[in-house]
Amino acid sequence: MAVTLQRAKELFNLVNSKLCCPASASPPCIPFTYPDDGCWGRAHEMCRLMIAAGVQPRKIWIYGSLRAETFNNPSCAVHWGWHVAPTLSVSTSSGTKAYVIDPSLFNEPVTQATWVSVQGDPSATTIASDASVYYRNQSGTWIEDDPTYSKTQTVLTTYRNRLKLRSAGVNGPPPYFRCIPKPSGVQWRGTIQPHQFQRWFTHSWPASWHVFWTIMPLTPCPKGPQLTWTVQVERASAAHCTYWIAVRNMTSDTVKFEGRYDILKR
Amino acid sequence: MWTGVQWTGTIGANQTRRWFTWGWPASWHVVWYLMPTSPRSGAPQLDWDIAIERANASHCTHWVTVKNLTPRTVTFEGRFAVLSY
Repeated sequence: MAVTLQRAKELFNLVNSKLCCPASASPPCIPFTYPDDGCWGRAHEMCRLMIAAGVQPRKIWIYGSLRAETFNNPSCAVHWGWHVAPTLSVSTSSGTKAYVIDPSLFNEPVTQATWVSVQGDPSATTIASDASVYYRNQSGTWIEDDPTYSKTQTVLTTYRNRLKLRSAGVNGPPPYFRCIPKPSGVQWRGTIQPHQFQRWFTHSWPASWHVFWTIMPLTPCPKGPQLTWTVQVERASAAHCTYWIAVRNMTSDTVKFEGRYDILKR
Repeated sequence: MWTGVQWTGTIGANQTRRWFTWGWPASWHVVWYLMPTSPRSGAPQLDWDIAIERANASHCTHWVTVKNLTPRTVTFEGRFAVLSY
């Protein structure tokens, strides 16, 4: 049965709210920020959650020489031989369309065409299936189900652990700065360790300007507030000042963040 | 830039309470400030701190901790300004 696009967005938000805090990745979270592998486990768990919410998803499988850009891999891309995600049948003004629910690639439901287009292989093959299909090979000669979700849990555990390992490594937790363009109004990006208090400074700002500083975490962790900050100012000369911004990590996970400024008056 | 009132609150004498507001686009530059609506002259009434949670890749939750510095209940507006979006 088809749902509205608004309902599809609610269901997207429902599954996306289960995303893992990368450094701790505690069950029952879904490791969306480890896009490298494990899509079949994520897809089956998302289907379980959506079925429990009263809808009947399906799945879309894609096979090919796939490459998707992502800021959640240190190399800014992932390469797959195949990929899978749930779909929902959505009522639109031009009829019913399948929308894909894939938080590892998007921030909202997208059409199947959009989902295919970001995976870099115009000749890729897509196949739709029931949600009950847990794994299938391209030819369909090997199909597995997982009605108890036990295999799903094993896969999720494996990739939660890989996410934790990567987050503890030299590149830290996702996202990876080199993969994200720095927008205007961002002075710097930083990483702050669990429960750490660290201070940054930025100098040579015209003292006549009215500048407001804010901090925004880049590492998602939907468990509560992550960062708080204070701003102090030093009048370095008659014309210029230095801002000192102290950031406190309130969590037990490493957090990447950006330091933002807005010039309210020049 | 635009401004607004996100919520109105009441806080008891010398109390500290925390509010949160979720679903804000993380790309927006948002600042938070309070304004007491129960007048009392002679000393500051409220202090506040902001903390922030990245709920997912595109949205965040702002957490506002309010401290009543007075021995009386204070009502207030929780105000915001979107500086950039």
